[in-house]
Amino acid sequence: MKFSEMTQIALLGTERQSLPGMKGTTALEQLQAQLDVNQRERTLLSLAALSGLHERIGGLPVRDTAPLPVPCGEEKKPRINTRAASLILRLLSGEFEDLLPEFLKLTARVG
Amino acid sequence: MPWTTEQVLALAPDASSAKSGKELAAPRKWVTLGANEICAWGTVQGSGRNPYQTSVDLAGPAFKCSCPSRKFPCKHGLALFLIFAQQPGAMTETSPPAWTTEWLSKRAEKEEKKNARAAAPEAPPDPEAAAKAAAAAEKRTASREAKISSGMDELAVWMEDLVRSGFATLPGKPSTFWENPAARLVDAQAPGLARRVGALDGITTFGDEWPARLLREVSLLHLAQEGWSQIHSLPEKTQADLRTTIGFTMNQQDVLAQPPVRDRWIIVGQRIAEEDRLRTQRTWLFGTETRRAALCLSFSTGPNQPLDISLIAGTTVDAELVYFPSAWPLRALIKQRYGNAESQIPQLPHRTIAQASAFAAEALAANPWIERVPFALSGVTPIGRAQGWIVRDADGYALPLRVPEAKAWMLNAVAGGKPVAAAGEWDGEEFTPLSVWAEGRFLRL
Repeated sequence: MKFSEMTQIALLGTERQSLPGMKGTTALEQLQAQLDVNQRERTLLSLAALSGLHERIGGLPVRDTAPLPVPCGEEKKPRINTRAASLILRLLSGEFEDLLPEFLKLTARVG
Repeated sequence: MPWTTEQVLALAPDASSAKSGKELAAPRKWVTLGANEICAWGTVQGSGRNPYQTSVDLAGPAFKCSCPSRKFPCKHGLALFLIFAQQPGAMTETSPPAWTTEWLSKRAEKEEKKNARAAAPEAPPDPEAAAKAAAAAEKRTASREAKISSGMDELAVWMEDLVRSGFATLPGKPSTFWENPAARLVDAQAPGLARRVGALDGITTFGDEWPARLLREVSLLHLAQEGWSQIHSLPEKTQADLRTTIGFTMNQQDVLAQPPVRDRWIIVGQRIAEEDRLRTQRTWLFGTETRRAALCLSFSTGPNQPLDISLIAGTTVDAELVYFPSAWPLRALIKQRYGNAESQIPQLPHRTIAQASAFAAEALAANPWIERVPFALSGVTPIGRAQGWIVRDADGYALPLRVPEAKAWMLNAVAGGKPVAAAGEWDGEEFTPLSVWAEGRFLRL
């Protein structure tokens, strides 16, 4: 049984849903078959622990196939010095907000 | 070894200290300034009559200041360190004053005493007192284990009810539905499980995936409960992991007695989590030789209890670490450090996302209750997709990010569409980037 099927049973409640009989040949299915299906609640949780870990450990990362972004060009402008950087961070965080436009204009003018 | 502004500001105990430190980080505000290879010092006129005397031990780093502030480090210490990092030319004095050298030698003495204590053989114990103490400890352990067992029985009944009536009945339940069983587990002296049960509150608001998430988490609690009922049949290291999950703590002296692992450790990221009044700082390390990961924790319950500031994200330290016992050792203590921290750009261990995933799988296979592992990816590109932010490697594999929008943009701006080195936490579903290295610079997110 798959983890998604177990989630479905847990969502509806074992009160209304019985567990299917376990059989199969893979190592995971054989482990599942060792659990007692008559103790529904505990067995469902044991099955979920087993399969949840199995899926997470065996799962592969997802693939991203959409086109990559176009990298921006090389940064040619000189970086502002540390003092100006700490100043602009302070301005951007809301301190002396009214001075920000003037600061940016002056910075842009000197390049 | 250059320190960056970010690294220094990361030492600030809070935002207001960082701000005052920055304001004071101008050489003209200081009466004297000086530095050598070991330390930096300076005097600054404060509100008191005499100027404050401030020193920084560069090896720790450690701070000392004569001001009355209870913050640690205080703004003077931070400002002095900032000037040292940004304008080393302003540190004109070259021989330290007496108050700095005295403090340094006191620190060295303390360190020596500590080492001597660690090396000294223990005094021969009084057999009668030792037997008494052992009997008392055994009684305490037995009483706690009985409490945990009854707490576990209640937890089992609660979990069975959850599954019997079905998760579909859960949305809209009041917080007390989750808080009550959590509180019972606190009473049963199982704080680790209590935290995990309490954290389930609000899980039904986590998108369409919440039933799977809830089942996954509850099944791990069930695994802990089943494991506890037969703990003595489990392998020793799994017993240790189960005890940690339940919330048993280990005496630090016992941990330090384990064999140490020496390496040059890259401090790949640091994060502070706040829960109620408890602040927990997680510092993630990777050994450059051993390629092992380590987690150092520091706790604080109030403003007068500062978090550990000796490990600075983005630097590399030569140190001996001691791991807590576990089937997949991760949490560790620093036993001994050698030399100063270095801040050159490190080579991160995970070259691909597939490698990082295999690393996480290995951790989970050994310890099913592990909540997060560090990923340190040497080349990934941050991309904003319609379904959210991701990082993608050269093979086309991707990890979804768990990151505030502002930080995602910062990461994106630093990368500029090109691969960067990024490190952070993987919780099994999402990656939280904490650090990024790009264009030869380190940035803490």
